[in-house]
Amino acid sequence: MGGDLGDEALASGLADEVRDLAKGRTLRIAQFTADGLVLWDVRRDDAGTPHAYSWPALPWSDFLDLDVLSGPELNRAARPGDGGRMVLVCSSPDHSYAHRAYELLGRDHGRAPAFRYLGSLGDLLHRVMAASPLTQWYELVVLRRTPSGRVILTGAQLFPPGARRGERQPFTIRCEPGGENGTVFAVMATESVEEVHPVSVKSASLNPGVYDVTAVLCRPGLVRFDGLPTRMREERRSWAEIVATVPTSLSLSRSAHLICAIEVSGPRDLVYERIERAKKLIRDVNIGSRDRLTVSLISYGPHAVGRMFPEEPIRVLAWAQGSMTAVAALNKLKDRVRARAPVEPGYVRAAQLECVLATISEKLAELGDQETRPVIVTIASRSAFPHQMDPVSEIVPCPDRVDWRRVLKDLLEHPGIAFGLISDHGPDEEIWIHLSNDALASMNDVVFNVQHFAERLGLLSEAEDVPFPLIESERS
Amino acid sequence: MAPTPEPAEHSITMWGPPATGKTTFLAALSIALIRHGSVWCVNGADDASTEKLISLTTSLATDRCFPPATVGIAHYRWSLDGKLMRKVPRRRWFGSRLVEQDVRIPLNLVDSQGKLVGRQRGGAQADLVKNLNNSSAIIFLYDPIREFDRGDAFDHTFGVLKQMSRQLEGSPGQKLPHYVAVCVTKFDEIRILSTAEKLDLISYDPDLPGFPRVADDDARELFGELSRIPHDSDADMVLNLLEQNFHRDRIKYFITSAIGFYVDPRIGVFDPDNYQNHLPDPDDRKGGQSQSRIRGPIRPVNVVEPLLWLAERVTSEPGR
Amino acid sequence: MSGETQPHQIPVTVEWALWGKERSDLEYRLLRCSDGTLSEANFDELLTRYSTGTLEALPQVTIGWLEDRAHGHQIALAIHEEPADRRVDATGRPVVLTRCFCVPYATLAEGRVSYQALYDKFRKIPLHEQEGTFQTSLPVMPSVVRADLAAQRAAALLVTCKPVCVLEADRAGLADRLEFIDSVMSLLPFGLRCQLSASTWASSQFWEHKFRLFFASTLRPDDDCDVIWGGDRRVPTQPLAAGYFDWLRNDSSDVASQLEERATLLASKTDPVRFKAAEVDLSLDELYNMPGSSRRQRSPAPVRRELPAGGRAEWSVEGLLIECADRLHDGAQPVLVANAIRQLIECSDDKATPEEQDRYRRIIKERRLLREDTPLDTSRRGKLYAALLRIAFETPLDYEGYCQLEDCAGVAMHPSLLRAVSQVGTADLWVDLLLAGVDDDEFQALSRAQVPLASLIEAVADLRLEPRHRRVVFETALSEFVARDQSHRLDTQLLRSALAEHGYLASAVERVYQNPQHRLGAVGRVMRLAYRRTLSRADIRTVLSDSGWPPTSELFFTVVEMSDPSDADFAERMFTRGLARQYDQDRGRELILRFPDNGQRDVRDPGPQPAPEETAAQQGLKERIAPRMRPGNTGSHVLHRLPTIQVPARRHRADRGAPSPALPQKVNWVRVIILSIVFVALLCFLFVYLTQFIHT
Repeated sequence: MGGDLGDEALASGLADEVRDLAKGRTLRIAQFTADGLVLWDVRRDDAGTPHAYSWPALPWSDFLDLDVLSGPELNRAARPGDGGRMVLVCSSPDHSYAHRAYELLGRDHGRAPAFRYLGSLGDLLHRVMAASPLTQWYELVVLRRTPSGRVILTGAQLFPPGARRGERQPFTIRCEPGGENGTVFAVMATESVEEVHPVSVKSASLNPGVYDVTAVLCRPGLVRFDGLPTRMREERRSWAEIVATVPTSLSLSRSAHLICAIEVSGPRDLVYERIERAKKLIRDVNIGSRDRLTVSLISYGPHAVGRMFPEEPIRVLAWAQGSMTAVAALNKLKDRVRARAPVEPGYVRAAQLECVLATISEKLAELGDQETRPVIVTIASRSAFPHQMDPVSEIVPCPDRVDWRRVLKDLLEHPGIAFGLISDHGPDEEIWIHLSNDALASMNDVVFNVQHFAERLGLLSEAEDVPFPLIESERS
Repeated sequence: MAPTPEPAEHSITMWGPPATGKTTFLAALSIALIRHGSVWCVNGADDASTEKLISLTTSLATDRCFPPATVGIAHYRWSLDGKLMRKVPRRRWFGSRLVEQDVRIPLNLVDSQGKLVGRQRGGAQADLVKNLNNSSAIIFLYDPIREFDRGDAFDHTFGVLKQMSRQLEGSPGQKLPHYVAVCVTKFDEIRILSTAEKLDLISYDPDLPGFPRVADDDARELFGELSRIPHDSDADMVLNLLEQNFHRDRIKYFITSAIGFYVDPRIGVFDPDNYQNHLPDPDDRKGGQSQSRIRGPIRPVNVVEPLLWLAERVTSEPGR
Repeated sequence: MSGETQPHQIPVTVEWALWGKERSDLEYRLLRCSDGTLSEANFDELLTRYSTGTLEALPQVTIGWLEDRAHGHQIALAIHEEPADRRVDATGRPVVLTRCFCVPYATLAEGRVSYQALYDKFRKIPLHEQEGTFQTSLPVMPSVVRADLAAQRAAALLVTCKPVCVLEADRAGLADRLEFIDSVMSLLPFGLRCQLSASTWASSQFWEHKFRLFFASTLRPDDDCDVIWGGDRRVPTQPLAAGYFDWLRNDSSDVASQLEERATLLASKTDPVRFKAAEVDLSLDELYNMPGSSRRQRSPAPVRRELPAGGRAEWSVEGLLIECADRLHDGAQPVLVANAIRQLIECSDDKATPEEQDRYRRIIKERRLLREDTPLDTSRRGKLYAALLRIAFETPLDYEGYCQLEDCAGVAMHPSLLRAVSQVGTADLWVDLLLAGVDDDEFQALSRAQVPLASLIEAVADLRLEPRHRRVVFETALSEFVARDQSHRLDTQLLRSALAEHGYLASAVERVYQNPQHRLGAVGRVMRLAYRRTLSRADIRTVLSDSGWPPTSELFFTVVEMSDPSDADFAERMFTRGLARQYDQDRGRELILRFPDNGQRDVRDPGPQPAPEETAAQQGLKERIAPRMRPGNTGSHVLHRLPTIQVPARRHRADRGAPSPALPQKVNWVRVIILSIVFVALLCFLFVYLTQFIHT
């Protein structure tokens, strides 16, 4: 027994004691102060995180027996109940009772480390506990998608037992839409395969995407994640509730070739709206497609059917390009539309949609890519020119007599092809029925539900909330 | 040699329900004559009529838009200048010989607002009936498309005929003395041409661009068939009504189109798959409905023939 | 109303209607209207009646009226414009929308509200959402408005109750034209506004419109009065209008003040006045008779004729003549002139007194209405002349009338005038000859008429013929003789007989030609037509001595030329005998007795021994014409009237040279041969046909 009053000694001693503290055991620290006897208990929770508890000081008068400190009384108060270890700290050596009690208990617990310390024991304990190494694996709860699309709840190991404060572990996760609760970052302490205890469960509202994150062990029981764009908040749901939202599977997608055919005839404001919807579609699909998207853009208008009816020819603004290129092309298109009259003259009953489909068919044939599935999205109002005179609609025929039905038939040969339509018409004509076969959105809707539209086309996955981050796994 | 004016003053009144193409018919007259390289030409007899002739013709030919709807009654004093073969007696020999003479046939045309021919009675309708009665000849326009949509041709025809008969105060059973050219308009519309095709009344002009034609002898039959098509109208009575009120030998039927058929300049001939010459305005209006425009060059069909027939008939008579 | 202080604003209840087409319509119709006292039928009638025809420039404003027991006088102001939504009808044709606003006349009269005030107020009121009638207030019209000469003229013409058309205002804006209408009406009793129909534009093709004061590009072929926009300085010539015009201006040097004074007075006349002659006259009389309202009368003011119901006021003939002359002189539009001519034609049926005709002729002469260079086409000119002839002359035209006509025309009769003469008919052979002398067609007609030779010769010889006409008459007659001769229709016997009665026209030729050579030629032509052989002594005697007319030297020389040279002396003696006969019997006998032959007959010439029939014929002729053989006989002639000349034909001018001697008639062998061939062919055909018929 006996020791120095130096902080280092006490800190070191306490560190050793905390380090050696086993789960379920208590480290009792008896502090002898002028106010009385202060008892501290240090215990580990299920996750192995040490916690310190203190009681208010027991006044020395409680231990006086005819003005003499009673050793047995002191013993009875200070002795840990579970037979755990004990440490004695005298914080007021000049106080007679404190000193006397320190000596009495020191005599009774000869093997308990004893120290004299005048500083704040609470602070010291915090420092010691924070610096203590982990006793269990810290893991981040993640989801992993099997090649078949099944989702497995698993953990990504962050810090091993023995890891100390300040250690960092970088990793990459993918966040899917987490819904209103956001993405849950749950750190678990893993004692064994069957014994997993939550260390911390927090959430963050993150946009779907891939994140490079660094986990920083602040102290046992506290892990900080750097690299996320938003702040963490406490997760209020129970673990069971969170786990219940984990989807059983996540659909996989092939690479897609999004081909947008945009009609530029009609009022200028309407054309602007079409361009904006195309832009939104491309951007949102691109985010969710994990770089598996190529984009093509085609603008068109009516045929020239007479001197007073000028043509708006087919223009391939981009073909099989990245989304950024496509969006830039759309911006240029918008500039061009802005420069023209509010309403461009031309035949008002139809637009050369049939020739656009024929162009797409030709260019897809040239491309010869069987792996990428084409997705044709038409953003238009006017129907196509018929291939011959139509006595019912009385729309003049296409000058080149292109039959959109035959072209469509050729396009349907492409495996996995999908057709989507964004229009202010319903599918009231045959061509619209075909071109909206997989997805239909109305130009009259104030908000364009891209997610739903793209999902129908297979450009994005189903709209399920994924509560945990996804860890990149083996490729499908 | 200056043309020899015809002695009598004859006027021709355009008659028909609204939007049957009366003013367009007149506007196409000059173009028809020029296109056919005819020896005839139309001239205005006074400044106002000349100005109107110019504005109607250029509006149709250059601007390719239809004339505005006629309000009230419009009088045009035009003349058909040309040549006619006339019999003149031989100087030293018996008999006569045919000589080509310069002729000027006054065309005092009266165009009317279609509404005037309706059930509403009033001063305006009285003016029209008066003009009809004072005319020697009438061009009656029948629009089968309009009849199919509106079904009011009988309504427009019956009342006016009765008023004309009453004003002329003839003896019982006496018919109106006018020459009437019954013109079925809008032959260029799909529905009309296809009906004629189904009835096997179409032949094709051997000269380019080879437009379809209905022979004059078949025109009456086509008119009759077209008037029977609208099931929910009394148009089928119009033919009988006309023939009851005018002398049968003074009525002739024509199948006409003021604007003619569209000819694709790349092809240069009539294309039975692409001949619509009447399209909605290329300047699209919000709401979808827009002014009508003419797609291609004006190539009138049977616009001059009714006028020439009427002019020859009325000038060959000593006068009414 | 006069004497009261006018309120600055006056409240009014407005009824309204919207007229046009919906997108699905083909025809114009009443779209909406207020639910006041005026019904849909009222508005329908208003807007249909006061239609402008097809308008090419918008907006335009029309003013109409409605009067009945139920509604009193209502004034309608309609604004015709392009709809804000630029809609088209069911066939894709642009639509003209009309907003019509009706106010009671009484309210307008109370406040003296102008049309411009109405327009300024109503043009800001859209009707597509209006429900029911609405209240508003209208400003009082200022008492003086700009009134230029054109407005004064228009106001004056309006009192005649005829429509007034303002021309050449194509570039004037709507506001200017509306202001003009107000200006015009401010120069008329305010009460006339109760029945004013006016339009800032009416289609020149729509002749049946019902506007009384309107703007257009050309006149209708009717009797509209015309005013030229922007500087019409013409003073109305129609007496009623002229009188009113003078009253407005009152011959004052300060016209503006005078007009202001008149306008103030007229604005106080708010009692309704209809545009009917009687009411307008009454109203004007009131004005003229008001104290201090002097009026300079133009002379003479004709009595307005009583009109049938619904009729219009008529011009006097003098006024018409003057107006017509003015229009021609001013180079007015043909339609204007046509109007005047039409009115003249209407007047030409009225019988005028000689004094009136004399006045008309004076005007025609002063205004040169019959000149050849009138700016008219042939047809109109002919109509004008014919009308003038009927109005100012006795028709059919006799010689006296023809002379008067020449005097009126002022220059030589030109062909178009002569044609007009033949159109109205002639009552005198001289006129026929004069016409035939200058017009081939007339000559053909004359020839066809087969005027008796005696009449022709008589016409030539008649001393009453004006000297300026003698040559034409003579030469025309001569040409007729030649024509008949060439067509073998000339009876030389009759010709000789007729010539003998008139001294073989030798004296007439003397009156025609001054030049002896011409006289000789003329006499020679006449004689050779009558005598186609060498003259016998009997002929010589007849021509030179026994005709009863003193022979002229030209006749003598012609006879000498035509007779045997050996008979020259005889001819000379006969010539002197003939000369002596112009004196009285005693004196003549004395002269003859001084000659060598002492009146004895020449032994070589047995004397006149006419053939029995000739003698009888000649005797008979002499008996018939004996009373008329004396020179200077002015007995009345039975003149021939030619029928109206019909279709023209070319005339072959007579050969002026010496006529060739009569040739024997040629047979046209070519014609005979061809006829023979045709005849034979016919016979053969008949033969073959009959043969076949018999066989079958």
